[in-house]
Amino acid sequence: MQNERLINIITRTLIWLSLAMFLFSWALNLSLRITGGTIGIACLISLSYIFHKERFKKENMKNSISVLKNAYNELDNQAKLMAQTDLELNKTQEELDKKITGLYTLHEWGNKTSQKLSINELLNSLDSNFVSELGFKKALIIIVDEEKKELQLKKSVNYSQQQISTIEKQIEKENKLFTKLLSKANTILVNTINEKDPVQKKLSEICNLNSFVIAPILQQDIATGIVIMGNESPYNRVTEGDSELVSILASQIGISIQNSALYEQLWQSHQDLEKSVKQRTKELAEANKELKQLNKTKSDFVSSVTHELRTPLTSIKGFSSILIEGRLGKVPPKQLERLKKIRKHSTNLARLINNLLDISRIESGRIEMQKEEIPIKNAFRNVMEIIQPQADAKDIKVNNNFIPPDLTIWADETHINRVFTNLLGNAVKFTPQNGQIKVTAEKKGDFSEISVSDNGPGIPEKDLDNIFEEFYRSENEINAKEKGSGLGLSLVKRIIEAHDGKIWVENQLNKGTSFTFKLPNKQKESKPEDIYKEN
Amino acid sequence: MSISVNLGWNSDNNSYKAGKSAAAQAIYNWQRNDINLALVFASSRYNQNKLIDGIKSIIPDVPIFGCTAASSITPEGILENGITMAILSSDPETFHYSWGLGKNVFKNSRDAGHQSAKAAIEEFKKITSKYKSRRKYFLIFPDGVTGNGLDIIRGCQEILGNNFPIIGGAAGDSYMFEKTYQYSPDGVTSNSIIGLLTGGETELGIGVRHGWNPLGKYRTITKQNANIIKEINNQPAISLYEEYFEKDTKILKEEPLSMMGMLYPIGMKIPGEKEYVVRNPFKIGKNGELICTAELPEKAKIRLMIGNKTSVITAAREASLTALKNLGQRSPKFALVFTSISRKKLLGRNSYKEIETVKSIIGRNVPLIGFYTYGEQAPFTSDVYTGQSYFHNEAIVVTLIG
Repeated sequence: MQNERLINIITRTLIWLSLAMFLFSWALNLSLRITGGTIGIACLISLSYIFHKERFKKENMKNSISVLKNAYNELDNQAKLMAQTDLELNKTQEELDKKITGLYTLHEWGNKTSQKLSINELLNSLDSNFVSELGFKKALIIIVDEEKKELQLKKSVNYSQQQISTIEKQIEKENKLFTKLLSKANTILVNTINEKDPVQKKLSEICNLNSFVIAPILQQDIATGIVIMGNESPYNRVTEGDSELVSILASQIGISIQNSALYEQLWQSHQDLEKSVKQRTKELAEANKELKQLNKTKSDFVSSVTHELRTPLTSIKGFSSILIEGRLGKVPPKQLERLKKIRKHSTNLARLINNLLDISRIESGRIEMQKEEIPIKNAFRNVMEIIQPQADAKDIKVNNNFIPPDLTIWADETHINRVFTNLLGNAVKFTPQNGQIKVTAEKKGDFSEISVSDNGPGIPEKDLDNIFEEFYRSENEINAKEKGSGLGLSLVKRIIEAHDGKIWVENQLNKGTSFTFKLPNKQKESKPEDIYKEN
Repeated sequence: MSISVNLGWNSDNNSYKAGKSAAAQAIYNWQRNDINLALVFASSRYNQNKLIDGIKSIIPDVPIFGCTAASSITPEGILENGITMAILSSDPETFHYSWGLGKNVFKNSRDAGHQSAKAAIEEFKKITSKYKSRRKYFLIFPDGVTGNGLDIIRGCQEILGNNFPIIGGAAGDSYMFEKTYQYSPDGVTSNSIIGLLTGGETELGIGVRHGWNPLGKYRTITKQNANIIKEINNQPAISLYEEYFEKDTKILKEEPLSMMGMLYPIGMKIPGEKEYVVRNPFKIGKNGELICTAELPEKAKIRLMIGNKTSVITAAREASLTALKNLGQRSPKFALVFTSISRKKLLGRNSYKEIETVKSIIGRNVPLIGFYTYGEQAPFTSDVYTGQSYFHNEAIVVTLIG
């Protein structure tokens, strides 16, 4: 470039110089020769200028082309760089895509299968869609069978029936190979089959896969199976990221198998427990049946014995009355006293026998209650006629102001009188001098609830559970003084229950006792369980 | 009366069940008494005969056309390992068709094209005498792994005429590039081409785009044979990839070329066309040849192509808009989408976005099915080619029937 410039300057200078010479010679009237020579020189110089310019142009173009070529090659090199970077980017992106999809699929699968506790159910969830979303075409799950203690193909995805039976045979045949795989207990990635590696070659043949990942199923650090996932297409090979996914899947399967085994144990023990509960219930039912039978036999026995006892007792009572009344001649005072005792005790014995008889009849269902609608007030009044003298003797006030006049019960009058007699009799018996007895009645739904309360000494805690038992008598001063049969409350309970009613006791030691019973207030068949519901 | 279309799809592992369930879904709520044809695209993992038996158990007398696919497309997304199908019915004035089967694509792709087109024309003549209609377009499903895709089209064009619109998708398998299947009333065939020649008042709107752009220097194909590029710049063809990715042939063979060929195909400028025509090589020959699904001519000036997610989605948008524009005043009644597996490879998790883009433009209520192909057939758009159909790679073909 600099040369060209220099030549340019020189050429121009020469042209100007020759022109100046021409003018100068013309001015000085010099000869034509000189003029011609000058013109000739000028022409020569001009021609050399044109020639040089062309040469320079060509060189210039050559230079430009080489510059362009360089730039073109540089651009192509840049394109190569771009292509390489883009390929890396695409690969990374593909790996990332694969991983995200795979992890998402595993997460979804984990959520779905966390509730599944049977191994079969778990293996069934590994279907074609799952395997494909994880980024593979085929899958095999081989697990050590607990019973046979050998490796067995438990699940295959996207294999034909024929392929499956071949694989099963191969697992049996190549047992050593698979056992060796188990013992390694780490994840293996086979991206390209190494033809020199017999294990890889064999596995590729057995599993029909061109690239694959093998991951161990671990249970407490011991490999109990393997998961093989891969692709048959040589154009779609597994990558590094895939081994992580298969490894996660295998460990999840391991955990699930462990959970499943635990659940199986739990289920089995639950089954055993249920079985023994059933057995015990059956035994209890049988014992109960036996007891019922025994109770019936007892009732029958008591019933027949008491019946047999009553006949001679009536004679004893009758003959002692005849003797007392002196119908067979005057009886000396000492004998009379003894005879009166005989009559009193035989009367007591007769009452006892009647009560016993009633209890056994009620128990065995041989008494039919003649139910009618009875105003509570009337029933109470009838009984008070008998009880009043005893209450008066101890200056006990019996308060019946809390019985609504129109409130009724649906009951057998005779038996209900016995209930009232017993409860009021007990209340008078245990209420101290100048004490108070309160009788109340209240309507509760379809029932009437009647309470008899006294302010006596109350029942000791230990006796509460037994007071309705036959012949049970609480140990206290009053009972020690006044003999009783121990059948009163037992009879009351049975009568109430025979009316589909219920009786219970509320008690405060040294403050008093309150017996409450409820009975249907009208003729309406009421199921016994309804009563329990209300309570 | 116009065209009625109902769709069905399923991904059951059992071939028969999958076919049966998809057909049952398609026939559900079908208001008409007749079905003219069923289009079926399914995974190659199925036992193909059982799959078709499953479909026939529901719609026994309906002619079934279609092929296996790399993945199938439903209105609700992509089925990796499933079946998608459409049943179609119309009065003969609106739509009628004939069909032809071409065999032995591998041996002679052009002849297979001839066979298919000839058989379809013969049958069409019988229909024409009834309805006085003219041929509208040729819908083809050729084998995508054997033969020369471009030669198949040439064969068809030699019978139907150079500018007769041919559209379709090349059958695929699950990235195995081994064997594909085609369905026709003749049953399940392989190494064949199925073509449907249609007529009637129905119009077609077609849009085709790929979205790949040229990168780097021009190179020249110095030796080729049909779909095999032997030498580029007097070097074994694989040198193009070795040079650009600085990896030798051995590594390229291990890192499957098909993936690289999909992402970085070879492009050739077509005068007047907006986009380059691309070819993706999917296999490397023993001497470093690149085996493509269709040919590139000798002395062709080629370049390496590069695409990205945005350019590919934009291409899908443009193809949909073009298809809609080409349909004119009519509204689309049914959409068929044939899109290259390369696009799926590039888009990865975002593949659904491509179908979403198409739906957002053509309308979400238009029934749509399709499949991922090993090659696409559609007419060029430039004036130079005046609508001549061509074999494309890496492209999406949106076909609207209205």
